[in-house]
This record gives sequence, C-alpha cells and structure tokens, in this order.
Amino acid sequence: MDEQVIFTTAVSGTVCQVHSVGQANLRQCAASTPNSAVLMGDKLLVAQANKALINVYSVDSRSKKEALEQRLPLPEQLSCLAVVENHTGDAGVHQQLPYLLLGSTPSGKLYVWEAGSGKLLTVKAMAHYQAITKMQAIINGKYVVTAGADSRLIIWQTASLVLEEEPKPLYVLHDHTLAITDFAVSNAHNGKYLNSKLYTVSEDMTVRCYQLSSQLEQPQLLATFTFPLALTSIALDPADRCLYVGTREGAFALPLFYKLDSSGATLVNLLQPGKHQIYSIVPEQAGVEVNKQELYRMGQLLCSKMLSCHVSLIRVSMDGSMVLLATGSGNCVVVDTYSKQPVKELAPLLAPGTQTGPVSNIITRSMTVKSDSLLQDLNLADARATEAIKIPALAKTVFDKTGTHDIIYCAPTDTLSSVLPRALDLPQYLDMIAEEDSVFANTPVTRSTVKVVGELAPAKAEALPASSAEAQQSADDTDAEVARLRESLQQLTGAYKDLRALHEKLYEEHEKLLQTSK
Amino acid sequence: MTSQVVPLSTFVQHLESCEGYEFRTMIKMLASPAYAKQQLLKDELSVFMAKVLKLLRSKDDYQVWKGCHIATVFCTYNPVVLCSFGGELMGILYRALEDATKYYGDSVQTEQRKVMVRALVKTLDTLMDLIRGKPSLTREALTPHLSAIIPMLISFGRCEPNLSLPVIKKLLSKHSTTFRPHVGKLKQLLTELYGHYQSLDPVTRKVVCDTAAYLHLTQKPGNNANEHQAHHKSFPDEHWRAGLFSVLSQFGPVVRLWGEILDIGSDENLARLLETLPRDTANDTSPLLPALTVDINKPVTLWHISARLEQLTDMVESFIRLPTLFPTRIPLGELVKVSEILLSLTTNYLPLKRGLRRDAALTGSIRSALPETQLQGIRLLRCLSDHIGKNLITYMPAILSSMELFIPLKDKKTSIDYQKCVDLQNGLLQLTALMNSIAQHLGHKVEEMSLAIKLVDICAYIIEHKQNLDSAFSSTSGTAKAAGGAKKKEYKAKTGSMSDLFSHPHKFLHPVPLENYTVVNTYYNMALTHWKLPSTQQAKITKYCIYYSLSFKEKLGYIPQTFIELLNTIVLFPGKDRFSILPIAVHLLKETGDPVFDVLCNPKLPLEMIQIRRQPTSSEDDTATSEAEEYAAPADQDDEHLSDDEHTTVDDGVATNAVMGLNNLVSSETLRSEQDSALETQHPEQARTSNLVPDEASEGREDARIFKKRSSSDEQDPPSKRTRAVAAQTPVPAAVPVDNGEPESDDGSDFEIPEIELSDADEE
Repeated sequence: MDEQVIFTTAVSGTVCQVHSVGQANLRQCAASTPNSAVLMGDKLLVAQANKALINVYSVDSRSKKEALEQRLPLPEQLSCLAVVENHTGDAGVHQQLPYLLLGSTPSGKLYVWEAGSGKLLTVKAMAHYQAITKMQAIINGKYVVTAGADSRLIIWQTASLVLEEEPKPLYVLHDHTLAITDFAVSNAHNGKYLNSKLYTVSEDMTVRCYQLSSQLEQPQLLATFTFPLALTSIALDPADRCLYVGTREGAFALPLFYKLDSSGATLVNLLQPGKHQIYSIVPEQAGVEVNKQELYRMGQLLCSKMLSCHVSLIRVSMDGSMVLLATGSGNCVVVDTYSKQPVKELAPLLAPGTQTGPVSNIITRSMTVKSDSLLQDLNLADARATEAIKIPALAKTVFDKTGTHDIIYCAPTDTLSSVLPRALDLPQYLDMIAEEDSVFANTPVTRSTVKVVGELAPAKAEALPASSAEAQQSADDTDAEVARLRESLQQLTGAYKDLRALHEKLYEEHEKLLQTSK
Repeated sequence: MTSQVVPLSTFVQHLESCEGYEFRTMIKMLASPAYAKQQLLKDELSVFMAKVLKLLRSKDDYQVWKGCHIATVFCTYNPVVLCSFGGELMGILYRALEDATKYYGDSVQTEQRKVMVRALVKTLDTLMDLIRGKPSLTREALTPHLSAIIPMLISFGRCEPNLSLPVIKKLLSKHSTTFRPHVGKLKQLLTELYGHYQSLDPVTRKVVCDTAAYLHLTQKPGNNANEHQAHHKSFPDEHWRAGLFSVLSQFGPVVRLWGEILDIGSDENLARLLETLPRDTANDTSPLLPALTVDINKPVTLWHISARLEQLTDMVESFIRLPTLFPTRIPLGELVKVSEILLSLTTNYLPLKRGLRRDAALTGSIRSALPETQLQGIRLLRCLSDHIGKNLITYMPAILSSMELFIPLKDKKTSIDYQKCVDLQNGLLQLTALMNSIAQHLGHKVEEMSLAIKLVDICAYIIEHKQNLDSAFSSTSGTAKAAGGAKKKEYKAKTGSMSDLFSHPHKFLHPVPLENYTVVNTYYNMALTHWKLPSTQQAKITKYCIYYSLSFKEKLGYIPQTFIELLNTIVLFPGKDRFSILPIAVHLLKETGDPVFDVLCNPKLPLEMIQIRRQPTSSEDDTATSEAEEYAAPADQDDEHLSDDEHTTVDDGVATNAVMGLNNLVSSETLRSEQDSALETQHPEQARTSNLVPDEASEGREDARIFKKRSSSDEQDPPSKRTRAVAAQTPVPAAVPVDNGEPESDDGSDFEIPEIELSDADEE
C-alpha cells in the first residue's frame, strides 16, 4: 500500500509515491492555474495553460506511461476542472467514467459536460464574476461547491446545474472580502444528505468555517480565524482534527480542538454551533513561553508553523500523519505533522535551472501497489478493458436532449467470479452433496429414523438397483447359491452313482443270465 | 506424507463402496492441502485418480455422481491434480455427459439420472473455470475439447436449458472466437426457447436473455470486409449495439398494438414519442421472437402484449447489465424514451378508443394488462438507475412525471384510487424502490413534490391495508339480501363454511412480507432526509414507524433493522413541527440499545467550550467534582470522591460542574448540567438552587425547564467579551439532534478525550 502523489507545475507533471521511490514525468504537461488537473478513475486530465485543450494521461499503478494518451479540444481555455463522480449507491457499482466534468474559464464561465457521452449539458455564463479558483463535488456528487476570485462561494445542486437552463445557486456565501483561494469540505459525511463543515480561505487573511446542512436555510458561520498573512490554501485532517493553512510564508497547523495548556489537559472546541467566534492566529515562536490561556481569553490562538516558504497547495496523507506542502518553487515537501519536520522532498525531473513556477496542482490517492510482473497480474483482461475506455470528445454546443444520447459504460465484471476463479464454499457444497445423495438413497418405503443395519441392507437392495450395496448383496447371494448348488450336485451325483451301481449290477446279472442260457 | 492425514490408498479401497456420511467426510478431507504434493504423484495419487476415472466411466449413475464430486473438490483444492489430470478428466467428463444426454429427451428420466447429469454439467463447468486462464493447461486440456463440448451443450439445451445455458453463456463470453461456428445452432435453440419463454422459470429466462445478448460478442463474419474503411476506427461494440437496437426496435410494433385500443392520438406528446422509436435495422443476428397472437374478440389474448413487453424488457436489461470486455455505448435517450412510453400507457389520461366494444371482459382485460405494461417501464428505469446512475438526471423531470402516471387515479378525477392501489401493490412497491434508487442522485431542493407526497400516502395505505375482507363481507350481505325466502336454504348451503370468515376474520389475513416494509422504510428514510414533508405526511410516517416498531417488538421480540433506521431518521429530522420522538425511540430500543441514540443522548465530542481532561493520578479530586456529578452519574461507580459540601466548591468559583462525559446516563441530565454550568458561573446562587431541583421530572417537563432556563440566561447574560470564554454554549434541547456529523471519530490521536469533565476552568 502506498500513496500516489501527482503534482503539476507550469512546465511539468510528476507522478510519484510518498513511501517508495520511482517517478514518472508526464510529457507536454503544463498547468499554470490551481485545480486545473483532475483524476477520472485512472486517468489524469490536465487543462493546459494558454490552450483550449485538456491533456489526458493514464496514471494507474500498473503502467508507468508518461506519454499523452488523449487530447480533448475545448471551446475555450479552461482554468479549473472538477468531476462529479457517479457512484450508484447500494449496488456498489464503480464506473470507469464519472458523471460530470466541470470546467471553468478564467472569466468565471462554468461548463458542464457529461463525461460518459461528452455532451455539453450546461454553460453558465457569469457563474462567478471572476475566475473560479476551485470546484468540488460533495455528498456523493449531489452538490457542487465553487469558489471564485470574486470572493464568493457558491453551492449548487448538481441536478439543477444539469437540468436548468439558468441554474440558480442553492447558497451563496459572500463573507470574504477578497478572492477565495481554496476551500475544504469535511471528509466525514453521511453520504445521503447535506450535513458537513466547510472551511474557506481567502486573500483577506481569514479562514471561515461554515456548517452546511439541508436543515438550515443558509450555511451557518461558526468561526472566523484571522491570520497575519494572505492565505493560499487549506487542507483538512481526514478526521477533522486539524486545519492546515498555507500562506506565502509557510503553513500553519491549527488544531480544531485547541489545547489551553501545554499538557493538553484542557481542550477547547473551536467550532461551536450557534455562535460566531472570531479568533486571531499568533504564530508560535520557538523558545518563547506564552500563556495560552491568557491569549485565548483575548481571542488569540497560538499556531505552529510548518515551513517557511511559499506554500501554494496542501494535502494531507491518508493517515493524517503527513502533510504534503506544494511550494512556490515547484516541488513538494512531505512534512511530519507531529514534529513539523520535513521528511522528504519530491521534485520534478527537469534540467537544472528550469523555472517551474509554483506547483499548480497536487493530487494524492492511496492505492495498493500492484506487481509490475505481467505473470502475476490477475486481471489482465480487466486492465485491457479499462484501457479501452476513451473519454469521448467534449462537445462545443449544448445538448438538446434528443437523439440516442449514447453513454459509454463498462458494466462491472462480477467481482466474485472473476477475482476468485472458483470460490467453492465447502460446507455449502457438502450440504448440496448430502441433498443429492438423498435422491439416490430415496426409497418409497417409509423408514424409521432408527436404522438397524440388518434391516437396512435388504431395503436398500430393493431400492437401489444401481447401488454398490447390490454388488455386496449379490456376492453374498452367489456364495449361498454355490453352496446350495454344490449340495444338490452332491446329492444328484450320489443318487446317480447309486443308480449306476444298481444298473451295473443288474447288467452284470443280465450278462450272466445270457451266458448261462447259451 | 505426514502421518496426520489419511493416506490416499485408504480412500482407494473405499471409493466404490462409500456413501453418505463416509463419502462426505472423504470429500472434506480431499480438500486438505496435504494432498497437494508432487511426491504423491508417482504412486498414491495416480492410483487414486485412476479409481476416480473408473468411477466416472462406470455405467452406474451413483458411481458417476460420486466421481463428479470428487473431481470437483479435488481439482479445486489441489493444483497438482488439476495440472496432471485436468485434461484426462475433461475428456472423460465430456464422454460421460454425451452418453448421458444422447437419448435424454427421448426417454423418461429418473430423478437419480437427473441428479447425475446435473453433477456432470456442474463438474465440467467447474473444471473449465479452473483450467481457463492457465495458458498451457488451456491449450492442452480445454481448447481441444471445446469444439466438441459446445455442440453437445447446445443440443442438451433443448432438454435442460437451465443446466446447459449458464455454461454456454460463460463459454460465449470467454471463448467467443471458438464459439463462432456454433452460433447458428445456438440461435436456433434460443429461438425455440423464446417460443415458450413464459413457461420457463425466472432464472432460466434471465439466462436465455443473457445468452442471446452474449451472442453479439461473436464477431459478425465479414465485418471487416470494407478494407479501406479500416482506418476509421469503428467502435468495438458495433455488433453489441446492433443487437440492443434490434430489441429496442421491437418495442415499437408491440406498443402500437395498444394504439388500437387506447386513443394515443389524444396525447400528442406520446404520439410523437412513439413515432421516434427506433425502427428495425434488419441487419441483426438476434434470435427471432415468435409472432404475437392478439385477438380483440378474445380479451385474454391482450395479456400477451404485456408478456411480450416483459420479455423485451428482460432482453434489454441483459444488454445493459452484462459485463463485456469492451466499453459499450448505451443509448440512454432511447431507453428513457421507451420507458416513458411504457409508463404513459394508462387509462388515467388516455381514453379508450371510441369504436371499442365496452364489455366487462374486454375492459377488465385492458385494465389488468396496462399496469403490467407500465411495470416494464419501471423495471427498465430501475435497471438504468442501478447501472447508469447519475446520467439519468438529464431526463429527471420526464422520468418523475411519467412515474407518477403509474399511480392509479379515480375515474375522471385527480385523486388517488386506493382500492386499485391494493391490486397494484407489487407494482407500487417497485415504483417506490425505483424512487429510492433515483432520489439518491438528487439534492434536497426538488421543485415537484407531488409524486413524493403521493408515494408516502400510498405506501402507508398499502402496508396498513389488511386484505380485502371488507369486500367479502359486503358481497355476502349483498347476496343475502338478494336471496329471497325460497332460496334461503340454498343460500345457507352455499355459505355454510362462511362462518369462519365472520368469527375468525383475522385468520384470513396474509402477513405482509418483511421486504415490503424494507422498501417502504427505505423510502420514508429517504423522503425524511431529503425533503421537508408536510406535517400530515410527517405525522403519518411517525405514527407508522412507532406502531410497527412496537408491534414487531411484541411479535418477534426485536425491531427489524430498517425500523431502527427509520426511528433514527425521524429523531434526526423532526420536520417542520419540531416534535421529537426521541424518548419514544429510546424507550423502544432500550433493551438492545442503539449507537445513534447513545451518541445523541451521551454526546462524546465536547459540546462544551472548554474541556478538562481528567488526570487519572490527580490529587485535586475534591475540588474538581461537584454535586452535579452526583446528578449526572447517579449510578456511576467511579471511585472519585464526591464532594459533600457543594457550597465550598461554588464559593471557590472554580470549576463547579463536572460531568462524566463518557459515563453519564441520561441525556437530559447532561444537558441540564451543561445548562447549569452556564448558569452557575454567572449567577452562582441562583444556579445552586436550580441544581438542587430533583431529577424526577418527566421528559416534557424537563424540556420546558430547559427552555425556561435558557430564556432566563439569555436575559441575564450581558454580551461581554468575557462570556465567550465562559461555557455559554447554546443549550440544545433534548429533542434537537447534535449537528455534528462525526461524533464517533475515535482515532487514537492526541485529541482523544478518554474521560471528560465539563468545566469552565478559565474562571480561576
């Protein structure tokens, strides 16, 4: 098991792992705006800088392909991409292609394509008044959150984005005063209805936390954290324990259960429902002892700093123990969350001296590492099937909902029968044998449950003309028969001998008589 | 060989004679990996396998049957056997099966023989599965036999389609090239089976459709005839798609038959849709369906239309459901159109044709056949929703409105005909299940709520409906009145056995299957979480849930899981009225307990502003505890000393109120003590008195008290900066759920709080 990291800069695209070596350099990859790359299953889509084009790469763990797999021409240049996944719920069906591909232009126009057919479903002009900085589908793709440089954050219903000609936002949040650079939505949600927490960061130096709920008329602002610097990015611990906020001069770790004393005996839950709290963040200075309680009383929180360079994006590893900080100089630093020390640095393979610019995208995903050996690959056929899926060309005109509307779909193979060639359930199989056996042993005579061996044998012999008991029985029978026959043979032989002897005697007498008469 | 296992030579002696338990034990032992050793190959194993092969060659059904099972288990668990004897076994099995099936259809088969043949087919199937994918074994053992096995299976399919077709289906999908020469024969077989499709059992029907679909995996000969077109990369699913379209094209003519009966022209939209249905492409190799005989003078023949539509739907479902090696293009637009048309065929809005004879038999047949036709639309949509998922959203308005057409309406009115709903119970439950499947793709803001609300009412009616005894009663009384005095004797004779109906009516009730409750509960769950229902429906659901939970508890001794989930949902989503059933729900589940209610009533995450983590070796035990702990955890066996003198602690102005976060028992108490802590810090004297209020209050009173207190605290709370640090958390009434979505996130981090005292420590 390992965690794959994919990050792009204005001139490079790199695929590598957190815990193991090995790196692939994606060719012709140039992404300059944040969140302009997105994963579609095993395919990486990168909206190219200064071109109306999306490059598609295959980044699965099996094949380490660096070459471009597909090019998708676009109606205009896109700066931000997102997908809406298509999990079909209880059936657990996993499709290769997601439901929607969302793309936004630098002017804030929102394109909605259906990934399975390439049809353009909606174009929402002026979705935001300036460039959209990040889009994300939440709650199993039921809602889409978009944040823009126009300092607004909008929550859409996916269904209304698709169905309505002029989609109306579900909620619009405009508490920030400058561009919203990033947001994070709590990973823990129930998957069915909207009930989650949303954290936004903005250039106005604040992080705002909202409670989203379908029960509420409007998302509720729970807390605002003010920082001393403009904020660039945010990441959330997988279990919502900590916020990692990136700035131009380093990253901050803000525990949401804040310790009031150094021993950690007193904790504060910073996100109180029903109350809007404002805190200001004070960077922790090494060697300076401060009274945290005193600070807290004044509404100040002490925060540790993780790196002191331009952090453009942050991701947290799957177990929450490591943070990946994408820097302004084009590489990624893996930092241990506990000690706040850098552990590893991931850098693109480029000629020395190449100016990369800041990292524009960083995508992490955990995966089981599959064997490189072709001999040991279990699902070669499946792999071939997935590779065959091509993302259909993206349409430039809005779909009018007529015609056949072909969806590219690869029905999942029955995992039980394909992964395990034959999972023979032995106990169940034995039960089946017993059941079938009863057919052979079935007799028209009602048998009592107590079986007497002596009685059973003849009964079986009747009922089972074809069973092995018959052979046994017939063997016994033959022995008896032989004995009987032998006996009768002896009797007969004896009788014959007597008769013969009598006949001999009489004949002799007769001979004698004849001779005497002569 | 280790001494622990029985040597194979022992089995050899008993192989022919063993039966029953002995045989089963032997099979069980053969599964042991101890026999999977190459050293065995030389002596024991070959002797044993020779015996097994002899069993399979035997003329005795029982011996062959035994041989089959030994071969299955031994080959499955023993790779050595599979590799060394796989080919031989395949050959013998094939010959045995051929002998057994040669005159199978011509003579009467005994039960034993059928079992033997089934075992043979299953073993052959298993063996082929095991061999497949192993390159040299496939080359040596499987491929040479396939060309003989396939025609044998196809001809056997005439007698036992349920046995041979699953194997054929698998061979088609895995060895489509080898299968190609036999496609014509298989098509003939499938055409025959289509002839008596409705008399097959459902599993076989499914396999027949699947096989017909997989027939399109074999490349059509001459597909690449046009060489200069080869550089236009054709889709890999061309043939598959042609098959699907040929099935879709057959919907049109069948649906148009209804046009002879219903006045489709009155609905322009429907007429237009019908026009645009796919036409027959005529270049497909699908097996042919028999001609349909419908005679309006024999009204019962109208049912053939729905039967045919059911078959067509089965066939389409196969095309959507089956996994293929290549991605397929699913014509979603056409499929939705077909289901929309099927659902539109209802007498709710379409009148019968004018010239139609109106007799009871004809109209009755029409009215009974139409819902069956509509049901196929529902099935098709369900299949699409399960497989294609969110892509259906594009057509959601049309789908929802056509789904509504299934709900029977009273003649020339818009109100629901509940009497008909009972007859359509099964269909309506399927409709509900479809709604469950579809709604998971939608958000909580839906424009059109009429279908959702109607379904809530209908579900409640269907579930609560108790057999149509009422009509039985009324009809008997009717006949009684009609019967004159002269006929009284006759009437009595007729209704002699009717007395049971009057004296024991409950004995005639059929229990509602638990699955129906599951469907309904899932729907209610979904409706409550997604939408704000009107109070009437909310109350209906609440009542239904509590009543049936209790009645199941009485009858079964436990509450089914779906009811528990529904109770949870009702508590979490109290609707517009904000009336909570938390006490009822907790009471219902008090024996078994429930994690959701546990978290609701004993919140584990800090609700308070400031938490003090209890130090296990602390010496400040006396000051940290208070009289509130006595309240909060009266049954708590914690060995912390309880303070005798609460006044001193209060006067200290230190943390006065501590609750054992994890151990406290009753929610109201938690809430109250939190509330008290808030109050106390501001008005210690007042709080002290309120703390001394005994704990016997009922739930209602409890709530009232909390609210009252909040109002008082709100009034007296000056909005100073200081109060922010103070534990002035907005009190949550016992009824209102915790908004925090992830209360159980115990992750072993340093944020974990094993034992919590709620306090406002910064007061010092």
